[in-house]
Amino acid sequence: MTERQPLLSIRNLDRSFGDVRAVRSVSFDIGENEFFALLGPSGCGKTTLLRILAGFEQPDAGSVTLDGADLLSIPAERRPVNLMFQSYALFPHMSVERNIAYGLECDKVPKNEIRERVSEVMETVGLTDKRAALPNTLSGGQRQRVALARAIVKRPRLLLLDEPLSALDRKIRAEMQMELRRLQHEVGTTFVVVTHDQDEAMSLADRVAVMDRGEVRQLDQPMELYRRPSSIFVADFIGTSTIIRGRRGDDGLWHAEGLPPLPCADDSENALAIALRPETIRVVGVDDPSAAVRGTVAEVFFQGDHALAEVSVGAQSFLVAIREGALPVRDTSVGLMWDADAAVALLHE
Amino acid sequence: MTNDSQQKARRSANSDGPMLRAITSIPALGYLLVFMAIPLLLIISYAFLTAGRFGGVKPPVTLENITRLIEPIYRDVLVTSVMTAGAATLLSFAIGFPAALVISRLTPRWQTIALIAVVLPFWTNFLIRTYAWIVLLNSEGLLNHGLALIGLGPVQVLYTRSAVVLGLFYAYLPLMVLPIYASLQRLDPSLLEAARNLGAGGWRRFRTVLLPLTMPGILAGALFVFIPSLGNFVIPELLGGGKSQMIGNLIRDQFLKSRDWPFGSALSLMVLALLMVILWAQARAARRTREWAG
Ligand SMILES: Nc1ncnc2c1ncn2[C@@H]1O[C@H](COP(=O)(O)OP(=O)(O)O)[C@@H](O)[C@H]1O
Ligand SMILES: [Mg+2]
Repeated sequence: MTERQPLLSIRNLDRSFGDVRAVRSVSFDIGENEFFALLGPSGCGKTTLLRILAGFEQPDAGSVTLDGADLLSIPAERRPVNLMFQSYALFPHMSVERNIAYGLECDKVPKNEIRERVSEVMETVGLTDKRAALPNTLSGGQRQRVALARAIVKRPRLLLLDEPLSALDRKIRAEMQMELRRLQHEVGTTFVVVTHDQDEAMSLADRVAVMDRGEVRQLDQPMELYRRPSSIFVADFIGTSTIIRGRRGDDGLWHAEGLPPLPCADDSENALAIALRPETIRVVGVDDPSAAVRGTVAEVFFQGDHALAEVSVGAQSFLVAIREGALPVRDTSVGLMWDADAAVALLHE
Repeated sequence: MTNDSQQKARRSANSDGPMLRAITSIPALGYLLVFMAIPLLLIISYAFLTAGRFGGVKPPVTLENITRLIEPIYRDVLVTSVMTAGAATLLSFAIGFPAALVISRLTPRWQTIALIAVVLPFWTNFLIRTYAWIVLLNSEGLLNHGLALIGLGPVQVLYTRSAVVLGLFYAYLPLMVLPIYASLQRLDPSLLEAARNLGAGGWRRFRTVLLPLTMPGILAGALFVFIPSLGNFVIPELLGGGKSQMIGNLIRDQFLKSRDWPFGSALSLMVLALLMVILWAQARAARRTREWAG
């Protein structure tokens, strides 16, 4: 990241609804032109955080600055922040063109400039032939484009997208993900996208904040999040992991109940568990002396370019990715091994 | 179920449907016939006959009742009636819309309580409610007492057109509030937030989002207030004194005082024609809003 002043700076933000603490002491910065993702399970406070940034909710405590100036004291309609709603919230009584022009009309932009900018953005999102259509005659993907066009035409400093792709089918969703990235490069605005879909967050964003019950648990680049989860929650939520609770012994091995001492090079203090990604574990013969553990193949899931085998070792199950060679057979005994470097120590729940 | 029996079931459902529907609609059709079609036909035929000496009608057939309608005196009554009913409708919109808006933003529990409060006056006798206004507005009434306390007045509201407008507004206000409340309930609140997010201030949000999207409710409410106001003759009589004659009073007088049933019928037809035009316009507007919903 650059060393300049961050575009958006959030400090110790808190918001409760009765007993529910929807956002708890959240702090982070977002840089200029960054594609930032807020990732977390449903109900973890993502929408509440966006609504605070958009000005529809006031936090109980904390501060938010945009370009160094206090954002919270600006009324919602005057913030240089646009929000693409989860439900799109298109005006049903206005044509596509009028929906897109709405924000510019509010800003009293001259008529001919409105016309130019609207046509330009309709071209960018591929809606030119739908200019006169009413929203209810459009497909889900087209509505999503209108909502996006309506928000970007105002050239906001910050564009917030609340689950922008969740209403679309899988195939269109993959297309739109690429398009969102392209668009972000093209318009050069900072995007903050909220999602509960980890693949979406990981493939779209420069940085991802993982949220759980109102708190940001970890904030990092997607690759780092995947390789170095800091908590059991993040390791579990992002991708697939085998999580083994236990403690580090003086022998430098990982001691877990019901398992032999396991290789683990990560010597962080106070680790609660270690995590192993499926692709770091290899299946070997049950008699192979290098096997760290031996167990029984419980299930094999075919995933297209690879298969995932679930191997039970006592009460602990290991998930192993198999990319080449013969698939293990169910109910047979196998050995598992991994490099000691592959195990990541998890310090928090 | 096999494919064959499914088809059979579908076929019998299809043939049973219309029959069943025809039978179940007999009461409704009977009601319409007895209480709408027959009286309407009577009024239409009366309007083209001659008045009997002590009421009733007799031949010959004539167009005279219809041509009399365009005489300035009757035209003026119609115009003032439309203006009075229109003023009452506007006033109920001006008060009813904000009221419905406030109610729609209460918690569900308070919404129920507020809605009951709105319809409560409807369950008390119409005449009593109207007499209550006489007590309030009269020269020794609450209004003038209140004004006197702050060193103003007295004002003569009772027995003026303002009193009639006030009375009509009060009588039919719930009929404005309820349909507007219903459209507000259906309105997606995120639309107003979207407008705000795009930079629309309060007035623009009202004008470009709230108003157009609640128009079906507003139009329905306006009709529910305007139609009974236009034909009302009790409120003009009680609160307007003799001066504020409305078309309803005129029609009543034709039947009960002048004993000119044919002309009374012709006046009724004129009101009916006017209402049909308004209903047609409302249906057109409603069709447009259905297109938005898809
Ligand atoms: N207006 C509100 N009133 C009461 N509780 C709310 C309100 N908005 C959100 N919450 C609660 O706050 C928590 C976070 O909600 P939200 O921000 O919508 O989560 P997400 O978008 O991550 O699914 C949830 O438990 C939700 O029930
Ligand atoms: Mg949400």
